[in-house]
Amino acid sequence: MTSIVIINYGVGNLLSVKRGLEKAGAKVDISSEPEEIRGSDGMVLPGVGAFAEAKKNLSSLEEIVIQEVKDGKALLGICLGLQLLFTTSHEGGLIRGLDIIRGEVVKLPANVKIPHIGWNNIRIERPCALLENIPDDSHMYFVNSYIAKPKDSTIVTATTEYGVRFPSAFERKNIFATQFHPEKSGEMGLRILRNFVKAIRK
Amino acid sequence: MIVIPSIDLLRGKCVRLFQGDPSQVREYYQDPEEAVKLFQSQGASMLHIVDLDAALGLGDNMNVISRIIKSAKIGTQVGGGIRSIEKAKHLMNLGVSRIVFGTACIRMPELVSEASNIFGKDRVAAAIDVKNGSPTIEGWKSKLSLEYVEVAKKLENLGVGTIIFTSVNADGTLRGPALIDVKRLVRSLSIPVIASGGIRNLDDIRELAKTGVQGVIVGTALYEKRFTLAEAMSVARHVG
Repeated sequence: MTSIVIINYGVGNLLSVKRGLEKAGAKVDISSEPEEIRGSDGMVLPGVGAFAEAKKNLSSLEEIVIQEVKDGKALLGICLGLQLLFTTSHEGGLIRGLDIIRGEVVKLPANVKIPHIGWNNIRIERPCALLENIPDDSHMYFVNSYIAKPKDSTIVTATTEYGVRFPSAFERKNIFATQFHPEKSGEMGLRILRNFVKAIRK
Repeated sequence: MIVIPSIDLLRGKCVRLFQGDPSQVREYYQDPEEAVKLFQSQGASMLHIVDLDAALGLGDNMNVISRIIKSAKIGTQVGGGIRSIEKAKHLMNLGVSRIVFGTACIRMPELVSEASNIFGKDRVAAAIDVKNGSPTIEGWKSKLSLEYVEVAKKLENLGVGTIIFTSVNADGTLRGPALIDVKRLVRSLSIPVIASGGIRNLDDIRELAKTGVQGVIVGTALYEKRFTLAEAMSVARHVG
C-alpha cells in the first residue's frame, strides 16, 4: 500500500487531508519524525496560517523535505504548504521559503476582499497528472490572502481569477501543489488526492 | 476562521430564542439595522440572517431583510423558510451572498441541487440543526431518523458548498458549543463547515478554530456582551 506522511509542523487540523488520502487508498501518517518521512512513498506539506510562523515551525524538517524531493519522492503542497515551496514570501516582511520552486509569494490585489475564502473555479492551463479527469471550470475551495508566482510559468497547470488571475495548481516532475484545499473541495478535490496517490505509484 | 454574527428576526425585531423555542424569546434590537451597523463597525465580514417567522411557517421578515441587504456593506447569508427557487432567486437579486437551505434539503433535495447549479457552490449552504441527537427540520419541530453525519454527507453530494451545523440544545444557552459533534462532522466531510450554537466565551472560539471549521456563528454571547466581535475575530485569526 502506498504510504504517505502528512508533515506535522503544528499548523492546525490535518484530519481532513488524512481522511481524503485514506479514501484514495493510501496508508497515511501524520508525523514530524524524520525517519517516518524518509520511509514514506510520498509527502504532503499542508498549511494554514502565517508564512513566517510556519517556516519557523518547519525549520527542523526543512533539510529532509528538500533532500527527499531531490531524491525523487513525490510531494504535494497544499495552500500555505504550496507557498512554502517558493523562494521568498512577502507575507510579514521578506521571508525565505524552501526554494524548491523558484519564485515569490505576493499579496492579492487590494481591490478584492481579503482573505479569499470560499469556492472559486479553476481554469486548466495544461494537462497534468494531478488534475487528470478534472473538468475545466471545476469549483475548488480556497482560503488565501497571498498567491505564488513562479519564475517558470510552464509549471502552472491551473489558474483562478480573484482580483487577478493567479496560478492555483503547479506540477513539475515529482512536485505537486495546489493553492486551494483539495480535502475541502468535495468530490473533485477527492479526485485530485486520488490522482496524487496514483502519481506516487508510477 | 471567520466569526459571523447572527441576526435572528422575529416579527421585524432582532431577537434570540432559547434552544430554538419561540416561546422563550429575548428581544435585543427593535430595529435590526442597529445591530447590523454595530457588527459592521466592528469589522464583520459576513452576517448570518435568520428569518425565524419564515422558518416556523408564520409569515416572514422579507421587508426587514431587503432593507438590511440594501444597506449592508458586507457579505450576508440568509436562511429560514427558503423552500422555492423563486424565493432563492429573489434573495440573490436583492444582493444576498449566500442562501441557507434547511427543510428544503430534506423535503426538496432537487431544489437544492438546482440552486447550487444556478448560483454556484459558494452561494448555497445547507443547515443541519441537531436537537437531542437528531437532525430537525420545519422550525426544529420535526425530527429525522437519519444520523446528522449521514445527512451532511448526502447534502455534500447534492452540491452544497457549505454545511452550517447548529446544536439546537446549545443555541441561545451560553453553555458552550457541541465540540465533539463539530469535530466529527469536520472529519467526515470534504466541504467546509460553519459551527453554531452555545458560544459563551473566547475560549470556545479558540477551541472551535482548532477543529478546522471555516467559521463560527455567534449570537447570544455578542448580544449579552460576553465579548466583542473584534475580540472574537482577533482570537479566531490566530488559530487555523
